[in-house]
Amino acid sequence: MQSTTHAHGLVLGVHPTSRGFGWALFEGPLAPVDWGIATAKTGRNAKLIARFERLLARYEPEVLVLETFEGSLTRRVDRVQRLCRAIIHVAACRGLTTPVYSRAAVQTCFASIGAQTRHDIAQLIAQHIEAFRPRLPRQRKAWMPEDPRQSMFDAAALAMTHFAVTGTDA
Amino acid sequence: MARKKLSIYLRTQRMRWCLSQEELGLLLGMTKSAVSRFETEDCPPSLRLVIATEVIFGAHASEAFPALYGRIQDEVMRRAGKLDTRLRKQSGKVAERKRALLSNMVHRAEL
Repeated sequence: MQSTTHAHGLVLGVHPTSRGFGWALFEGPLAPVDWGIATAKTGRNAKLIARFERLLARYEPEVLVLETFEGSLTRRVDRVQRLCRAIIHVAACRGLTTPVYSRAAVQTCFASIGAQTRHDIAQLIAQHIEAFRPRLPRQRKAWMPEDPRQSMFDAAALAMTHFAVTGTDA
Repeated sequence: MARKKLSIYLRTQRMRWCLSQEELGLLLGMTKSAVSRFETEDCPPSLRLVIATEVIFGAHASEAFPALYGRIQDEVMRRAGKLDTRLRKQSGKVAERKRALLSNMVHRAEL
């Protein structure tokens, strides 16, 4: 596979979950280029890292955005924390900048336009980005497992937060 | 910071309309793996693909294949420069008309 030589300046949001990670690649605040969900059943972290490396090789993004995964305010299991650390390590080795935003920072960013919960934020994103609309998950009830598509919206929210924080807001 | 574009937006267009590679292949008259090769730039886009992409998505070649479009545009503009040099030696309404075309080309390229 050839690498995309014109892809500098792309922002990749990644949101790991217990099954894999959701990702969304943007070239502008409302301009997604590619998006998806990566999952693995066995040997998860190794497979997911390989998938992440393929993404980097293909698009050569400039920025990788993650959500805070360490500290007392997060409830990430060890495996996901290791995955996040590995993702940051791989990205840093390729020269990407790797800002990490807390969930509160993402919520603050979207609160000004009326979205508070993760589902509200996903709805707002789907409202503004037509391509994401068919992938909007149903609102989750307390007894329901999380829809894997939510992680893609979380990744998009992270990338959009980065644009807002760095002043590339639409 | 100037944000550069991807060189091909075929996958973005396909994803935007929730099409699988197989479905897009059906529309393009090619196999799923051929679509994949074009998306990953293993194959350079063919004229048939560029036109079919415009038919399917309504995306102009400059939007869907910016790198290819830019490369061809550069080549054409270099030749336009040569034609302009030749036209400078000519006068009259016909030469003026040709110069107007070159001027339009430059204007469109700058947009």
